[in-house]
Amino acid sequence: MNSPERNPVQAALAFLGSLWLTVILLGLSILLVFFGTLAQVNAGIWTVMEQYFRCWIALLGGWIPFPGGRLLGTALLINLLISHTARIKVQARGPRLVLGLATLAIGGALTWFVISHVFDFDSTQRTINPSQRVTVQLIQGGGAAAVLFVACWLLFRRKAGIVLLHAGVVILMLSELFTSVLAEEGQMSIFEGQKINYVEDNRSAELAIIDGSDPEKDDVVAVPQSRLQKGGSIRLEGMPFDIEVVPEQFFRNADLQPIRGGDANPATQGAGLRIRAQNRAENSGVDTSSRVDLPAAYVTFRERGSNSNLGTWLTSVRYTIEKGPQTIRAGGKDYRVSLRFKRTYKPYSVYLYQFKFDRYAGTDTPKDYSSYVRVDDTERNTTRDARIWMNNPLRYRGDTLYQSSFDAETEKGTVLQVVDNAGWMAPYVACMIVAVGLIGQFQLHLLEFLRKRRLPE
Amino acid sequence: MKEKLFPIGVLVLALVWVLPDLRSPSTPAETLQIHKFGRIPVVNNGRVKPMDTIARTHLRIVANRESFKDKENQSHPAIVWLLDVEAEFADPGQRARKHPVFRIDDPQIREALGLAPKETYRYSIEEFGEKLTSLAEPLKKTHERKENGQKLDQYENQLMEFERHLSYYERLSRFAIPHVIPPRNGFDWRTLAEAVPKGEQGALDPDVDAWKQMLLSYGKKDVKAFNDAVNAYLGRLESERPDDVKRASLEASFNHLDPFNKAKWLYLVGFVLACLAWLGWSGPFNRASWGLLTFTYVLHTVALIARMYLSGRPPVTNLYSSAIFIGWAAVAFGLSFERIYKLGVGNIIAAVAGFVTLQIAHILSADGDTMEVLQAVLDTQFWLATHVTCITLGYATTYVAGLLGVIYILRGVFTKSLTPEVGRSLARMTYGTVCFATFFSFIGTVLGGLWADDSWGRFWGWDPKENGALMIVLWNALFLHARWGGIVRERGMAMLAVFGNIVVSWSWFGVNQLGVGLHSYGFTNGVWITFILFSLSQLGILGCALFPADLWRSKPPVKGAHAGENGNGDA
Repeated sequence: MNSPERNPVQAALAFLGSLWLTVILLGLSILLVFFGTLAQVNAGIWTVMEQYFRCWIALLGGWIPFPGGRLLGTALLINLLISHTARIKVQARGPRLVLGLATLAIGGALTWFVISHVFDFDSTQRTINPSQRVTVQLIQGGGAAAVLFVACWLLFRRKAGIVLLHAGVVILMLSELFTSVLAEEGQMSIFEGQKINYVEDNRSAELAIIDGSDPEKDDVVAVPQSRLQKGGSIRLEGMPFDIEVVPEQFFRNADLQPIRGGDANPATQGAGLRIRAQNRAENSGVDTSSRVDLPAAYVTFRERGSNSNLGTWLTSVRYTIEKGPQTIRAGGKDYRVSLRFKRTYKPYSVYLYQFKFDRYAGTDTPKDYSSYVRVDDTERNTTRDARIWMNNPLRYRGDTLYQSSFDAETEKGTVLQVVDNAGWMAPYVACMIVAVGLIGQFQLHLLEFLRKRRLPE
Repeated sequence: MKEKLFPIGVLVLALVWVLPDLRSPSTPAETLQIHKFGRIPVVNNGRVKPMDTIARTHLRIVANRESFKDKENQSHPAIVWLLDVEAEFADPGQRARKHPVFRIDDPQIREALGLAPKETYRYSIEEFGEKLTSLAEPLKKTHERKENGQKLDQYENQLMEFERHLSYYERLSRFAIPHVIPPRNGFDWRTLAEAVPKGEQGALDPDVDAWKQMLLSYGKKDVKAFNDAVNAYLGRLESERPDDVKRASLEASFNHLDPFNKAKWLYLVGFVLACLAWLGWSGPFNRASWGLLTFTYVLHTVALIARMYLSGRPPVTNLYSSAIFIGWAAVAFGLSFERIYKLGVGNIIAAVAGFVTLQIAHILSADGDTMEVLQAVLDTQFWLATHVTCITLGYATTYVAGLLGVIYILRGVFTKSLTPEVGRSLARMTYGTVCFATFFSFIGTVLGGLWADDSWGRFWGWDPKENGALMIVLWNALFLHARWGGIVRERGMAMLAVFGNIVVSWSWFGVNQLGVGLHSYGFTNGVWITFILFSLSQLGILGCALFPADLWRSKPPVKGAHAGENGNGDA
């Protein structure tokens, strides 16, 4: 007890678990959120997310170091755990303790079941409106939260609500962490009568090289944007050539312009002989037109064996969208080369019957957009019809498909945003846990207050 | 006796001011029944509303008021202006061109139009019509600059605004707005321009004919023909579209009563009474203030419910209604505090919150229709009712806590009225309010995330509005933890609460300006400046709070060491 080494440890623990630290961390979090909001005036929302919130150290304005979202979140978690361990003691003994622990186990299991969709009904079948749907989800979470509250009350008595609501906050924070690491987001652009089985992520591009010589199936090699950005020589497995990129000749957002005399031109082959990439500023996230960045890169192809130069090509997402892939000939075979938005293939495909766009009477104000689709699942051999419209997404196999945009020219094509986030139920549960915790705590205070009032002075 | 009668007297005066306007407006029988015409239901911007609302919103945009003065300086309601504009084609006197309603603030525009400055800055088409061509060139340039994404300066913005005002006038006068012809023969609501047959011949459908009769007779000032036409048309609509007529009628009466504006002034009177209570005769003044504020609150509530009925929506759907709702909730808190503590503080809070929020709403209403239809993504009663209401209650409660903080600091620093007992009560109210604020803002924010998840498949996207809400939650959490940890006492709590005002205002207004600010200026600049001035005022109050305890005129608020030092000094 009196050993001199323990004091610094105790002091450190006392500090780590102190409310002072909580207040400081909360204050820093507010500042971080504030600066992260301001930064969105000039930078894209995804850039800000990576540079401010989903990182350990944020650089304010690009150079002032500041604790990032992950660091603050982790610190708050540690602070919370230590302070609760230090301050909140289990108040139960004997049978009450056993009962409390058992209830806690049941509550924990229920929470886990709800989050992992054990009680879910098949979402393609539902026609209920959002209020019913969300209420059902909140009731599921509320049930688990109620059991947990009973457990907390058995174990911690008058601090039950405090423990429970903080547990809810922890779930919320962890769920944001998992989402930031695991969730994937992309878009499906489908025209009426078309069937698509992949999503495109318009936040990052990939260089796709396709060997289409086999009529049965295509051989595809895709180089992700992050690799292209780094530059240098990149080996392409299964292809007879490798590529080389100069980092300065990769543009995160580029326009295409016709080449005029006197322009320096890195390209020696293909479309790049006629047009050049012009660097543009990244699009801002709060820009209401919400345009996306269209990357471009100059890529040099070298045949592997002979090391002969197949030329430097201009590849660009804009070019791919407007004109399609370019063709490179090597070793007597044709290869289709394109810089395109990163694709992720899905085990199901979506067929668009019809896209409908309703306006309010006599205005251009949109009232509703909906896509009537068919989901074909080859793995499960199922086929289903569904309507996807504003505030009413389709949830299928852990993915959420929601109405995001449409083809403005024809109004005959839809853009569905597809989000793969298995833990989407966690916030519903967390919300109810915190709510039950807060309300429960108020009730406990109220009961205590009333009991004191009833006792004579 | 006087003490009992005074509060009752105040209440009676308020009733005398409000009650007569509950009756529908009317004009003598042998004159033009313009108010009856104002009740006719039409559609504009996707919503059924009475002609009266069309008149008011457009006049508000053009002239920044809901009534106008003609050349002879006689005041008229907006509907007269609208009728004059629509019946211009049949009006030999061309009255519409003579009404000075176009407000032109910019001296450069006035100069280009050859207009001498006058007190009201409102001009008629007659005054500037011939010179309008001189604006064509600058307007063309401004449009080009805007299309090229260049920033527009003050003059250019005003120019665009003036063009917009003229275009409203022009569209009203050629019947491009509103949609006055009700659905018939498979058509949806149509404008008069759309419904009039293209050729010279062809039988008019009965609705078009009715409108023709009304406008022609109005233009010719044929009282009997006009009244007959209006009565016949309204009578027929009543049997064909009873629901639309009922709603439109109610809305016209609502417009006439103008309850939020009346409530605003009553809150101001309540504030004056509450302040007087402080100078002396405090019992009667406080009771009068409380009574008046409670009456005003009832008016506020009834108006809020009427608005919900008229728009068919939960209370908060846009910035305007958020101001009204925040005011409503904050007043409720203020009145309850007064009921419990009877310190006069609750009255001040209710009065200030009511007046300021309704004034903000009034300024926001200059934009046009306050019950406009909602964008597709907002078209969901469930989320509007839960998330938006919760988050707005979070704003309201955080502001109430902030107001309590302001009162604590100002009374402590500048007066001797902050006794330890009052200080304790104020602190207790602040703490209780922040508990509510934490609950509402947390649940509201999370519900917002759930809405985002349910609609878009993502719970949290770090976008500016979400971040604003999160900052309020974090700020309230910081307040509570600081108090639980004993890091702040009364004064510190007051200071944190005052800073909360800035945090909420940032979320309510600042954030919007950030998003919109990339594209539009003018009005936006005004909001920015107001936001910055407001924040500076709050920081000023915080600065006062930082005065050492012996500079506070009230007894030192902080107990313990701080108080001890001063105690020694006094001794």
